[in-house]
Amino acid sequence: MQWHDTAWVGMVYTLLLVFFILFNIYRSEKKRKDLFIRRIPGLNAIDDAIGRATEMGRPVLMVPGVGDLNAISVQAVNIFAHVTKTAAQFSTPIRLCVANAAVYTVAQEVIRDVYQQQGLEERYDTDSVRFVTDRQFAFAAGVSGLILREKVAAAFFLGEFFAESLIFAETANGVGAIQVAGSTEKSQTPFFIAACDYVLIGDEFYAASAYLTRQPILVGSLVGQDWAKILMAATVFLGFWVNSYQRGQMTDTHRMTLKDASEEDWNKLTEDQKKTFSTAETWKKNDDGKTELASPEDTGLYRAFNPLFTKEDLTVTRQPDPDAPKEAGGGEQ
Amino acid sequence: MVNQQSIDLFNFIKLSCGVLATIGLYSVLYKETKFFRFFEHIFLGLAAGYAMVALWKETLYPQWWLKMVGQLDDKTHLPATPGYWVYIVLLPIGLLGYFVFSKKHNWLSRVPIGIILGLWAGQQVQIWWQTYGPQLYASMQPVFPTTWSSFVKPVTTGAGYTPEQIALINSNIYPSQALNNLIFVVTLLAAFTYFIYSFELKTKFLAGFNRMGRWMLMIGFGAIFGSTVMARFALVIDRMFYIWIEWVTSLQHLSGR
Amino acid sequence: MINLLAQVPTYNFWRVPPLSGELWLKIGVTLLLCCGIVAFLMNAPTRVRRPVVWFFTFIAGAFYVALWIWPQPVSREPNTLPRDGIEGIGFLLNDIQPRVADVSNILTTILLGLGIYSLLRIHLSKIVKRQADSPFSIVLIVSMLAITLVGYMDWYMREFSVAGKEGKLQEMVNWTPINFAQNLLFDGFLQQMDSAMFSMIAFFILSAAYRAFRIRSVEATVLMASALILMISLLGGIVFAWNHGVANMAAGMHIPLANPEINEAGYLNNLKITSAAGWLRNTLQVPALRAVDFGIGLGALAMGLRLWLGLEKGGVTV
Repeated sequence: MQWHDTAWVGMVYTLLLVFFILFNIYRSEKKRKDLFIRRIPGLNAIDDAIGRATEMGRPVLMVPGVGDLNAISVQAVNIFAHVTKTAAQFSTPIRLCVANAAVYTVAQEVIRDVYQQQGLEERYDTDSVRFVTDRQFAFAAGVSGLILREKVAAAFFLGEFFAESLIFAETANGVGAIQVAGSTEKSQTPFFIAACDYVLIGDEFYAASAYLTRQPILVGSLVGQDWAKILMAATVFLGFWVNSYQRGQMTDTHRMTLKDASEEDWNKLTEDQKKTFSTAETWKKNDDGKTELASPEDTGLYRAFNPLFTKEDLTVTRQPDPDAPKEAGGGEQ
Repeated sequence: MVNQQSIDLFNFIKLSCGVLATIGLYSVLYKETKFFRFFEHIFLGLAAGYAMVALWKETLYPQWWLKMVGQLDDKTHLPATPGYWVYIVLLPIGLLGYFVFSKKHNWLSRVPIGIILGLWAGQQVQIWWQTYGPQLYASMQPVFPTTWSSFVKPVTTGAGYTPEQIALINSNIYPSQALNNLIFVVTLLAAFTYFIYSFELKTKFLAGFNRMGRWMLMIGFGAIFGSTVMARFALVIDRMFYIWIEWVTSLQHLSGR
Repeated sequence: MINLLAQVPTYNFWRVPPLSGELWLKIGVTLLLCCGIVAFLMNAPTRVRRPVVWFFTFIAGAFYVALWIWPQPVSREPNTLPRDGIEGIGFLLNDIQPRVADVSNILTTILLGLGIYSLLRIHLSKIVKRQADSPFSIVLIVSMLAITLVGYMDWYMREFSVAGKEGKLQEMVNWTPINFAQNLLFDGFLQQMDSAMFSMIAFFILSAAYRAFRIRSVEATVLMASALILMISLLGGIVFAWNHGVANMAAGMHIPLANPEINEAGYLNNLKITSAAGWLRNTLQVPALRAVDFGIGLGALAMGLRLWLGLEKGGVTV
């Protein structure tokens, strides 16, 4: 089904993006030389924030959002692993509050690993990574309480945040914590911008691990993403020219046919309307010679993005299944 | 059977608890006191307890147990849905996660994590075009007008046009729309350059374009900020309604006035 | 007799009669097998660990990738046979999909116990060590146990008791103390506390806006200016006065605002606050945020690929 008509465009496009990313990962592994990454201010602030916490002897708070376990929370935990690495060296206490049991499992694993790799296992407190609750606002209340009681000196809010983002940010601001925040939820970014010291906007969040660790694979992947972005920008850039041209052409081609083909329609108009419409000629001739109104959906560009399935495409006859139950529908495994 | 009076009393107690809890949580706006801490811990306890209930009631029972063992018809006691016994493998896989506290076997906890993440990752590839394809197309806005009959698009409501004529107006691109579309495309591309990381934007033009993109992002974020403020105030008004109207009404009702 | 048989679902190796001996046997054997595999893995050498984790991750991700790339069967009707092998696999993938869709959710739920364990451990140790906050930990554990207990009893009554099956428990007059307790804890406390916490954001939004207005950078100014326009456009009274003012101005200039045929009048419409806000939204907000979205989408795709293929050194899935 997804290969019919122009539906392959989407498949090929996605595959191209996948290729860009994988190819650059492969390339960076081979080359292993330092690649340029532009400055991301929020990430430079991490060390300062931990330094301050160490001086004040107060904990560093980390929250990987309230979302389920997915790449976003894993990425947040990866960034926190970097934070923890520095904090562990100075034996600054950490608090990693999690709102999802699966993320809790990952965080527990990763953070313990960090302490182990630093040879500081005795400094690791299992309870510094804690599951608070999986209910959004109860989590907000619990974390706020913790911020206020323990007077955290630095707070990192990175991951999927929803409405509770501002509760965290303003509470932490109230106790004078340095805050670095970033959300993949674009609707929450403005609140972080208003309330936090440093904010990662959009996919700066995804770029963070490459920026912090400079692992060739991560940097390569970032370069691949940039290639993909350039491809997308080029698509939009070319697309708007093509669309402008095709929409204009549609009008031009049918300008001549208007008067003779749609006399009837033309006569329906009042004089004033004729004045308004005198150049509005988006009419087209159908296959059977009749004229009808052309719509923006008649351009080639539209078709490239919206495959056309005819009735014949969708009519398929198959043999009935002799083993099938007569009443119970649905598939089987 | 419970009589109506007891129900009224219960409703009043319930509302009062809600009012008390609301005030308790609001108190943190002033200061973190023991009063707040008390309600915070009730909240956390209830949330965790409810999660334990929902765990079986909302997820495991309907999505796992019933599908695994199948169902009998309530009245006839004949088989209604078959049992898919394979679902049982999810239990040991999920339980592997509990090895996370073991010093020796903690790597096994990565198996369920890997499966969850693998499924998520596969879905990203699957849905990429579905999500972003339409947005890509919607971004390719035509920037040349197709008609100069009017600078702005004529107002169609209440002007006595036939549906065909309205369709005609809608399919044309008027100069003002073309201008807006141009701003749209330029904004998109400018904001997009802000997210290029690995290429140094050396030329003056690109650096300026990049800065403009950041401003455009700020405008966009500001717009979200502005539109959310009002929605949040509606929530406070709703709370105040709960305390001052619902609770007081219930109190009056109970005292027979 | 034939009719009766027709309503019975068909069975095969994977789908077996509900609650039958065959089902329990298969479940038991599978559990034993799984335990065997786990025991084997526990003693497996260190070097197979990464491949094992990666294998599971890869299989899980490969399903959705296969579903995406394999030709989907066109207009599939229930109980029909595939036309060829390719379509057969397409049928199979489609049939498995709803089962696979459950997996993440079920696994996450099974892992919830870990979270509860973490919570209990922290608070029980506080109680045992008699730390300063231990009374609050007792409050937490008591309320947790209370809602768990009445929650399950309430659910059991509603699902399995005679009154529950007949739907009598929908009405309060038929409730038992258990139902009341559940309702009090859930509706009276939990839901209200959710709303209370949610509504508190309004106070925080004010203080955040106040601080943002004070920051004197170009970017903060741009952000708050656009926020202000949107905010004003949502304040009914001001909008009315403002738009009325524009209409008055138009009247003073003898330009009819709502006349569609004289489009020049539309220019003044642009001065209306609602039009300005709408323009800001459609022409600037949408494309700027779409750029953010594109970036996030690519970030997720790249991260997904790295996780799925186990490319990250020291990553979670390898």
